Amino acid sequence: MMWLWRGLKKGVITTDFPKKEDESIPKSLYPIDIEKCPLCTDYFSCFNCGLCGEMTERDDFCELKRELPFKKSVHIFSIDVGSCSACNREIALLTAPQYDIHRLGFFFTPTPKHADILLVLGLPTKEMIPILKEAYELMPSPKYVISTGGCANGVLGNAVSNYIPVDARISGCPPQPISVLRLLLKITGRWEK
Amino acid sequence: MIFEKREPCSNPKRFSLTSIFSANQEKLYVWTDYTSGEVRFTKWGNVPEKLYTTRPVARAFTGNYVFPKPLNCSKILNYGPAAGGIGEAGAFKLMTCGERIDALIPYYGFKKRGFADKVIGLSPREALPFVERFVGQFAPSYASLFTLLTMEVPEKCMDYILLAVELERLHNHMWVIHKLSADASQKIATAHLAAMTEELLRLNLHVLGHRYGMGFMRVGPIKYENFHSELNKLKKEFFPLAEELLNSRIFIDRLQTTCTIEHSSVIKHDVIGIPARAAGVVRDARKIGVLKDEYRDYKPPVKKYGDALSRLRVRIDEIDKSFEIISNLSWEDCRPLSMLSKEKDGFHYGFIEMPPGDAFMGVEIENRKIKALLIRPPSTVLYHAFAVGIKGNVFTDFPFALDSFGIYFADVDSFGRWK
Repeated sequence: MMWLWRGLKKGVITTDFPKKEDESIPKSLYPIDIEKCPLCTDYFSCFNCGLCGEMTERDDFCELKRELPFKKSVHIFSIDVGSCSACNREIALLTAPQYDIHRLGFFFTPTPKHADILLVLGLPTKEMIPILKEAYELMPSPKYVISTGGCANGVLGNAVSNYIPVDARISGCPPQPISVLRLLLKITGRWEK
Repeated sequence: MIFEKREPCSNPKRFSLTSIFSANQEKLYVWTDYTSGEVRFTKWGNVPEKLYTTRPVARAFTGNYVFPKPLNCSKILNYGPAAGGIGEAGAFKLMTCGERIDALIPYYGFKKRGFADKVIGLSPREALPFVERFVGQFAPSYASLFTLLTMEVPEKCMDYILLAVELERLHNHMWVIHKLSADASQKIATAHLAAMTEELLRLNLHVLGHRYGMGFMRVGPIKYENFHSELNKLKKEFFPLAEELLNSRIFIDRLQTTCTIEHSSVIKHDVIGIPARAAGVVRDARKIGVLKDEYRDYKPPVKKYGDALSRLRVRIDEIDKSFEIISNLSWEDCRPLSMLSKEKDGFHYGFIEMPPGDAFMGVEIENRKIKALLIRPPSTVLYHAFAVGIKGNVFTDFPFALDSFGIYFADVDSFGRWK
């Protein structure tokens, strides 16, 4: 009973996104001039480290080559191939009440055999590359791969796309949950802006 | 470096074995007396077989794990490295008899990203982004330890460092409690704790410039008017929730007597951090580490049973302390980048208390460039402690046991001597 009371007292904290942009979520800091960066070549492989100088607030960058032919009940398998674990936490937080990814028809699955989307986190290490390839092979078609965060996008020259075909990328070190949600809506053709 | 030749088994018992690093034909040993803070460096040609008996934690540093003699019913199975239950690229080898876990060996190496290797030859300032990313959850601690060892930090910035480290402790402890309540299917508590963790990460971004505090010395502190009011709101929300969790038999039944590491095992296995304090052994780098002056009045919370519940209770007490510490800090005078100047030359070493336990780091700097780096992350010792505690537990205890440590494979894969 106390738990129920506690929930009622707190009220609804889930974001109105995607009906409207949520201004209460602070944005990540990115360099103003990426060309000055000693480590990366573009915003997708940016570490958000601030070594290059002045930073400014902006949304994480995302791009996709194609959409997924499903709109709802999309299942995601997330695989860590060498992350610092910050990306893992951000993905886990997609189920936090602020984002509640399930309300939008996205679900996590513990096996690539049931996955529509492979969400790859981290810098591919020698030991994890065969496991990444195996997970990709086990997915049913049409396979869809998201390369998630600066490490996966090749900040140190070793990108996920070197090993399996990548359909979408998202920047950030780590990318914020709201940006991952936005990308998922774009992929499923449900992003109207 | 300052390693004196000495047979490792001859070290007095008051010294805890902190690490063994491989160096060409030799092994470098680091020993710590947690009472006086004295650190001893020794070297020897190998790891004597006897050391694995007298100091079993040595296996964590050499990877020399062996299963005990199997029983008739014994089965061996691998768990990981892409298993959802672990949540990271890491694995375990388990020896089981029916449901009972008789032995466990942690498998490292899936997350060897070579970040520690990349810092060699760089200046401390250039190296910092890599150090912060050894493990994202502990970025402020790694960054603070590395910076305090390699650079002269202005006194006015010490409170800012403490703020970053304590915010890190808060969000990590809350995340651990969130995971434990999720394991016990306490769904409402899980949702509240996940929401609080998210709020803390947003606070981090507001004041440190990053959700996990990476780069906090280059971009922060950022002025955020609502910081204290939002933190107080979280404090008011957290403690009644924790109390209710501790009153829930369904919840505490899963933690009580799970993965117990008793006082004697802590001493035998040189366990550190929260698992040590949960068994009544005060090993806390806040009293001996690079921030000891800042924590001079700090009294580490201790419990006595050493099980997953005691570890949870230590965490709840530490959350209380962290809120209190943060409320007394003043960091407005610190300026970004002011900490990242005046590099030190020579060999410097030290500890910092991260959320699960202490990390040791040694840095050798020559002509303002890093020549060698020694890292012993807390997770290296604590995966070993997990292997000790899980023995005799059953499968269903596994998530409660593992999650009660709050450790990461990304952390353990930064272990070693890099040059």
